[in-house]
Amino acid sequence: MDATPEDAPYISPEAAARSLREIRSSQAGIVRARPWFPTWYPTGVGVYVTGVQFLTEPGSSRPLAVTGITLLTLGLAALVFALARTNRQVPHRSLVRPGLVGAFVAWLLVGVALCLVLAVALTSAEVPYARTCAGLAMTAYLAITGWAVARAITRRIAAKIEQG
Amino acid sequence: MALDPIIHAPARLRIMSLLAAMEESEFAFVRDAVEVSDSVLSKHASALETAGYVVIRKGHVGKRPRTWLKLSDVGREAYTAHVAALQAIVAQSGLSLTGE
Repeated sequence: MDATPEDAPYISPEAAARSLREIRSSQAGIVRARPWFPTWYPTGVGVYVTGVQFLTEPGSSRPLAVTGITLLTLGLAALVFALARTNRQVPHRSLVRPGLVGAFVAWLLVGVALCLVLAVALTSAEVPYARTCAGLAMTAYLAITGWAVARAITRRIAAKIEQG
Repeated sequence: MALDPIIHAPARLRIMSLLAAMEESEFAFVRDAVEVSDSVLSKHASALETAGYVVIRKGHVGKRPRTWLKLSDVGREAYTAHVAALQAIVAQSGLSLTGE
């Protein structure tokens, strides 16, 4: 038998308003409960970049470089695998506004720019292991600021949910 | 715009709204967030799966079995329409969502 309008559920305006407020509140709460991305991931990528810089510095032996880069690449692959396996409970993509993605990309680009500028400056100053030092600085930047950036992004997503 | 009888029940609406906010959620996470028992969540999740609103995926983390829930495209559309119906009811009454 087909449903009739009389079969449709009814809810009072007050109950509907309360229901919507509860939905927004609970969604904001679960989004806010965890950072948008785990800090260990960009930090791990920074370690990979730093390792590659170290192994390709002048004076490094070729067998050591090949072995080291192979191991680092396997480590990076494991990192990507772990991220894909463990980081499924993330806010739905429809909630992540382009501006937030832009802020995330800008944060990454600042790290890359820091690495490049330092590498050029230290190389010009003939500091030994200049590129490695620059990579370390980028890794430290990603590790130290990553948590705050990830939290700020989830706070923005939650605030947008609460606004409706 | 009508309310969806499948997701109208408070517990189901809470489950759907939680799943709508996430890409995918683990069974235990949903159970704790919605504050229901395993059996109650299983029952609602099965009903929502039967309706085509929720996709249930079973897997393992290490050796431990895990169950993951996510909204299907149909489920997301139904949830969005249900919330829109709730908003329409509130708007027609002149109530505000910002006040308590």
